[in-house]
Amino acid sequence: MPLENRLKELRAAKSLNQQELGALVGASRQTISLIERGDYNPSITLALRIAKVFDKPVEEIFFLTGEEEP
Amino acid sequence: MKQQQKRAAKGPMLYVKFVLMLIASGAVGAACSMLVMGNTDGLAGLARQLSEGLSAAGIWLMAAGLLLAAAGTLLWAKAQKLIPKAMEDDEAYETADRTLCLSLALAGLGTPWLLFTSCLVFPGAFARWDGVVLLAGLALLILENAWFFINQAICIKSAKQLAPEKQGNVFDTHFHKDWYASCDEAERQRIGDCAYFTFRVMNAIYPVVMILLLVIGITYPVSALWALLLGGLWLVQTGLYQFRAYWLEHVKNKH
Repeated sequence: MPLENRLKELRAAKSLNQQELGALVGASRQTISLIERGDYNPSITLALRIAKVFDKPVEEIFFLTGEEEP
Repeated sequence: MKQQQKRAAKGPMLYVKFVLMLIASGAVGAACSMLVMGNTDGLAGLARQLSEGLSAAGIWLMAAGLLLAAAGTLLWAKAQKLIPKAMEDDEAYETADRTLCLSLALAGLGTPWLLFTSCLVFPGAFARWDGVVLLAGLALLILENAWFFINQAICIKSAKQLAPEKQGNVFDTHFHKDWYASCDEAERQRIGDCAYFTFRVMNAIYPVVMILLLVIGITYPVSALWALLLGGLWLVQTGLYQFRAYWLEHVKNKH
């Protein structure tokens, strides 16, 4: 089941570039880029750190799409 | 769920496919053995021709390494030009990172290529005492070795400009360890993916080459050193993987 996110949109709203967001959450710029493209699913720790930066619950940033059945 | 159903439906077919593969492998092995037994002289001639051909082409293959080095430097220059823009713009970053990655891949291929071609050039040239080839080979060895190393060093320097958190000095023997330690979770996962992919591919290649060696060795005198070399490498690879897996699973986290 694909995991989608609103990271790019939220980052733009906060006027952060990938490098700056990466530095805030302790990840590389490349990793932020991969997450935004949907090529990498972050760990719970990283997802929580990202949620903290945007002051939003994790599920408002990351959400599952498609089939509900596991 | 759908995948599980598909897998369950494929169940009996998997065993049929496995048996068919065994039969096909046996048939190919038997055919190869008969071919080898019936053409011992031809095979010996072919092996000699191949060996001589590779030895003669060695210096040109070694020289082709210059193209590899030049391509690496050109890619690095292209990436380097993009770095100032990449610091501001995410799309430029993607392009610079991709180009740098390609340049680093070419630089990484350099050393194995150089050593492989050296093995083709020098033994034959020494045996014939061919001064021209020896001197040309030595010059290429020094030039390419330095060029590939410089390519690696400048690529790492540029990668550090793009990702300042990266650690490690290419002149230090602990470079790979330090670099890995400065990678984040996504980068470590991809390093693991690449390593596992390589392990799977090599585990498919080793048995094929070993069986080929066995089939040829039945009728044609093949030095036992080849079996030692290939078997040794395969054992080291598999052993390292298995013991590392055991250590991570049952030792590391028990203390």
